[in-house]
Amino acid sequence: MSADAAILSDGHARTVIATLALLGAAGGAIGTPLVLRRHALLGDAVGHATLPGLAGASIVSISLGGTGREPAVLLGGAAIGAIGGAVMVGLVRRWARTGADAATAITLGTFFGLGVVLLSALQQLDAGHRAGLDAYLLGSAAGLVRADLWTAIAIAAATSVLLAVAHRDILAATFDPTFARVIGRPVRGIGIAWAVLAVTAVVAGMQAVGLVLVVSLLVIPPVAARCWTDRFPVAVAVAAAVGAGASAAGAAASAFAPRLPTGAMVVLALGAAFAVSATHAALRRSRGARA
Amino acid sequence: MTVPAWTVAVDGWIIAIAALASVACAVPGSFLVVRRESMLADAMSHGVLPGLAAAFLVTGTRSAPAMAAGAMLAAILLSLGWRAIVASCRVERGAALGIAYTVMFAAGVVLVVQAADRVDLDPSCVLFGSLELAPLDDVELLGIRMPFPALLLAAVATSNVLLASLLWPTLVAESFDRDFARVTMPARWAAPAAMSAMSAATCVACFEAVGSILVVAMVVTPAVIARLFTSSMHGMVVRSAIAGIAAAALGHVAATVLPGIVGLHSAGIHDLSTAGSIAVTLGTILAASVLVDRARRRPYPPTA
Repeated sequence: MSADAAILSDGHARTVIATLALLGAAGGAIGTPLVLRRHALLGDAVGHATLPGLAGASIVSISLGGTGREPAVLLGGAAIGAIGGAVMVGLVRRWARTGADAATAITLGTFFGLGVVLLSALQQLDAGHRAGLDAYLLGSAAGLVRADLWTAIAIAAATSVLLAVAHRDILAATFDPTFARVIGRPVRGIGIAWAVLAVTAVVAGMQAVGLVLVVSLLVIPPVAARCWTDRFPVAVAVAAAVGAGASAAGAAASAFAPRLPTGAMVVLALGAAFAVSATHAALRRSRGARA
Repeated sequence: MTVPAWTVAVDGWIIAIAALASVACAVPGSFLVVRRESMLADAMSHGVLPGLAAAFLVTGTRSAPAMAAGAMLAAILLSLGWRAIVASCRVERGAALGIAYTVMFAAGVVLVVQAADRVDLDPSCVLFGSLELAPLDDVELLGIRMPFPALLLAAVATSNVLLASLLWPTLVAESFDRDFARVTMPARWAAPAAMSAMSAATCVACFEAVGSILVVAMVVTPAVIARLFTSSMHGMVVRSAIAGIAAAALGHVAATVLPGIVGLHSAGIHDLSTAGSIAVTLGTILAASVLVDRARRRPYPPTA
């Protein structure tokens, strides 16, 4: 771990904090309609579905003579796994005649199971390799580079543009998709665009926060925002602010204490922000009840 | 020789442990699916990590009873925290679960890092489990040596069946129609409490054998498979136990035999993870069941 401390020089720490702040802001904004549409845990299935992608990409790379650790190859594999997970949640809901909760749980279990099978094969192919993938399970900010900051900027920009251009349609598709469809709004297109954003944010966030906990970026800020406001645009803005602030604080905390995993620190900071918000909501309600 | 030599003492126990886990999961799994609370299994299996780490930090040992007690306390804490978030924040239950378990898992990771100097309590070990090693942890009972996980799972399976039979009408009514249950059932409060207790005990007993994330597959997938073939709650529990047992056997066979059949031995791959293989087998059985279901229903218009 002392090597990590050396890597975390000032410039790198700034990159990590900026990247996580942007991903936190984008995650909060992307998560708000998902939470309101009761799709909150889609990100959990998608996050866990990256594991077979990572392990599969590593196996393919090794069998083609590579090292099995090229970041671009691993991220490509993770993206394929994430897309597969998002598609499977939809298919299971439709075809197995079941709720979103069971579809999410089945996708998560099946994909993670496949990931564990591929990992067990990978370990026998190349002993000691798993250490390379462990960083993705619980997140490691030490691996973040300048390119990841640019990716985070791109995701945050794409989310802002989509929200600015289509926020009325997003609002309609979130609260009353049937009505939106009847009046001819592109509900399906918005759903797909939003799923693409969510998958991209999960894959980008997985590196820093880890695939097990990355869902927290999409879920905690929107619920915290829900404690402060009943208006959709305000909720999106508050969620983005909570996500940015808490992620940056968590990243900073792990830069000062490099033994603590970045992902866990970010989630604990998000949890603290949520606790403050929930306390505020409870106090406001008890004041309202007395008045 | 492409097929590895099997030993009843090891492979038999692995399948038996996985089959017992399936039976233990069938009762809470069926109810969680019809209650639309499937993700509680996922949340519980993640949420026990701080309990495990705290139990180790307090007792200084990795003894099974201390670990089980810590995990059970953490599962109860998670359940209480979840219901508190639902009550105070007006959000859907899935989102509230997402908050409760990610925060608890993160706290667990921090605790594990604190304990890491003294023990190899590896978070990824909790995530993946080690079904292959489970038969080695054996105890003697009535003169027969048997693995501790098998005993624990048998006990949990029995208590799940007993608790569910005791509360059956209340559980069924409360799961399908909360308002009806509120006005007709004297002990309506017992249903959510029993659901939490059964889920927690099952997740704690299973995760040591099959790993925390594969618990989700074993709880939810068989119940959804069963739901495709029956409309009765009894039928669902029985069929999901059968689907789970079948997947346990097929999954272990696939994990040990498949690498030899498809020629992976030359690449140095001899056997695959049994727990992972069982989860994938369950997914495959679900896919086949969906095809059967769709073929059977084709002449009729879809019912919502």
